[in-house]
Amino acid sequence: MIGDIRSILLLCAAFSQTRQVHAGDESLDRLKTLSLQELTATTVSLAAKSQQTLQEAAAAAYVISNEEIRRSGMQSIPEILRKVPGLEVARVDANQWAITSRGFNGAFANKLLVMVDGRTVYDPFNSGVYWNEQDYPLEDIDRIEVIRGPGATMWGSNAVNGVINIVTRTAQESQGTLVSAGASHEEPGFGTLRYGGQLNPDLHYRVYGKYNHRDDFHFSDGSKASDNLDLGRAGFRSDWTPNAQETLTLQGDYFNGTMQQTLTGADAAMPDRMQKQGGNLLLRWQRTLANGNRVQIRSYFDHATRQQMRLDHRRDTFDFDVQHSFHWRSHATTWGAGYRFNSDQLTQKLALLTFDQARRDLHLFNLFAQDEWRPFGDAWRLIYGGKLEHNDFTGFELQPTARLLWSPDQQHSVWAAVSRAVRVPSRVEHDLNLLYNFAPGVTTNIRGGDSFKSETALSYELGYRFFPNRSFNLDTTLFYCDYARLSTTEPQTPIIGVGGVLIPYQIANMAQGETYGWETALNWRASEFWRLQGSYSLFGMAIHKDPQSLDSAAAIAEGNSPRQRFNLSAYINLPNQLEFDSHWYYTDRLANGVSAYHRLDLRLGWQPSLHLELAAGVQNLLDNRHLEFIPPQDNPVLSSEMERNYYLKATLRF
Amino acid sequence: MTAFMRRIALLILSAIVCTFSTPSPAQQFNETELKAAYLYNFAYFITWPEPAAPEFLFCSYANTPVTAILSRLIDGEKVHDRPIRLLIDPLPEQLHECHIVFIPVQQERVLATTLDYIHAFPVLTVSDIPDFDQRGGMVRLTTEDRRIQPVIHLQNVSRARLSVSSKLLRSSRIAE
Repeated sequence: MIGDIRSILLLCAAFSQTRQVHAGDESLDRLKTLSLQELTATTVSLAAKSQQTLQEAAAAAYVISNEEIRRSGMQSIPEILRKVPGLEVARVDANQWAITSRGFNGAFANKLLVMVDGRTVYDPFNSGVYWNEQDYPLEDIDRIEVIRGPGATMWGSNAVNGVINIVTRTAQESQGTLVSAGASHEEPGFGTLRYGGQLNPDLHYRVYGKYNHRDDFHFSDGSKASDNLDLGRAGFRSDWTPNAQETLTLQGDYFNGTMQQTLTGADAAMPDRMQKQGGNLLLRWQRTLANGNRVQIRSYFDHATRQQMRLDHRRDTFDFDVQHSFHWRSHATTWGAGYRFNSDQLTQKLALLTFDQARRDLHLFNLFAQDEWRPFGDAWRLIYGGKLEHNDFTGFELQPTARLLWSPDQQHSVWAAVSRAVRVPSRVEHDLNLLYNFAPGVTTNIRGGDSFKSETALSYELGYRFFPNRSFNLDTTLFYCDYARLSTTEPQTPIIGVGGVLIPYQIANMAQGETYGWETALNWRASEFWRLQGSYSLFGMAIHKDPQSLDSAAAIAEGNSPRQRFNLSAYINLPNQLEFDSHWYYTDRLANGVSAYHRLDLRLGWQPSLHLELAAGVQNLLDNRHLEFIPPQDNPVLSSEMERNYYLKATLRF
Repeated sequence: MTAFMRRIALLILSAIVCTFSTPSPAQQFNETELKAAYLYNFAYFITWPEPAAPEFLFCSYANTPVTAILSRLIDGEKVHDRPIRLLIDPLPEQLHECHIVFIPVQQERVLATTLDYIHAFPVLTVSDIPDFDQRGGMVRLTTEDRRIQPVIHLQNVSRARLSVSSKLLRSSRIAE
């Protein structure tokens, strides 16, 4: 199938290429003769960045730019996310993170969808993201787009509380050689090597390799944890722009590494060494039609294997989707369809942990449409649409949204939204069969099943943006979200046998809940040399069990989210090509026993020439080390503490 | 997937791809080309203080598609009888010889350094960095509503003893 698609794409692309092969120079001559007035009047056929301006989004959107990544001093994608208002980022151990938006945090937070260049990295096995597998040369990440709140109409199920899209630069924007290397207390060695070149003026490529070694953290008692990481990755991206309307992108990555975690066993903690490898290949074709209408076809293949003490897991995903956007009257409509095939193979290593089927093939189909309607000029925009999905576990799911944006003038905009999103069952919730020796003679048996339904969320949002001038902007959002059919673990009638008592537990949907909060971000360029960025978020949640529910764990989610978080960053340019950046993060206490913490990061950067950049800094200056997260019962990982960290980094570009 | 479904999928796909592949009749330019065209035009609508150098020097950085288009646009062209030359990735000590320096958003990291080196020299600075004019830049190229427009910071321009033609001013927006 992939072969067929590729041949169609290449054929059509080649076809249009031959028809336009002589148009290149002619179109440049035409471009040269355009008058200033004509230039101002010409509309752009293919925008380099399809992202809307912040003012135009009818959602709680936040974008981290390449420059902010560079000046954050952070060396990994999850750490960079700390500054996003409303996003909860907590380090579980040296190589694992618990990241979510608007509640329900966990090492595999299941209501946040994460994508890299449109390829989902949310794993349907356990409904979560393996953050320690997600990495990229940070210099080649163009931006990280974060949408808090539901994004299911555009991005599909599991985008319940938020969507993160990591967007890498095009090959044309990353030409030449880049070498960056550094060392820190936590990461004794990290390095990136990238080369970008061109095969002809329309075809650019880059290749990269990256290596990270992360040291063990320490537990709260001062003993050393077993949670180091060794990860190597390599990849490429090529972009072909045969004409002004078209781009064809082919990209791929491969990673291989080992990472450790410490599991809390029945009697003692034990280190678990994980061996992981994976790769992906993505093909995307975009074409702009007349009037700025566009069509995009994207397909990818993604493979991963993970070997752990308890289970070996292998997964292959194939995805194909088509999107078409067009304008008519005062409407801008986007519609599309997609298909995803997911095949996994589980190899049990413990007699106590089995799955209903060792191998499962899952098919996911979707069809969506969204329309932006401006009935009375540009001041009002109504955005409405829905996605219809079919999955093998719960059948059809409908995820609609309606959003209204009002921009009375250049300085203010107000938006409101109502959306429904679902979180579909994971393989674990559907097929798990886990026996656990609870106490001598007492065994529990947790089982998933076909009766488990999707969790649903109905979300109400209200946002306001204020842009009094170009150097200041404020973005604030209020939200309330109503959850139904939340996952619970229900004890059943105990079975008394010869060897003792067996208590069966069934994974069920017997809880509801609500979350509410306020998120705000401000950005102020105080002078040519000084920029300030801040964010604050307030969050609350309540979980209610059904009267007949006997679950004892559902309410734990309430204790995994901080009530308040804030961040203040100052970027200062000093004379002699020096940069001084400071970042202050605060996270409130967690009800499950994690104390509130402040974190202060400082960075001094120096660019003695345009080819060399040196940076030195300290992270978590105020604290020897602190705990950020305690995984809930169902994830028996022992968390370790985030330490103070000094780093040095050199980047050479030529 | 069954062979039947596969055939259907391919059929739909071919239909979509080949329908949309038909080139549109109107001449279209992408963002990159329009930005390069503006840069090219600035050479004619800005006046530099005397004495004039024997050649007109454009300076730009790599890692933006704009530079490649610009190099094709200026090939063989002249500004007031002076040949145009493009210098890609200028060294700091070469910066003050440039007439126009383009700092693309992809090279935001060198912005402060570049502006620092050309401070007080009559060099027109152009960029597509969103807050370029607030950071001491002269002309920002902004993409709004599918159109590219220059935003000119007159104070920063006149500080460098450059003057902007009224024709260019009429097609631009003035930064506060």
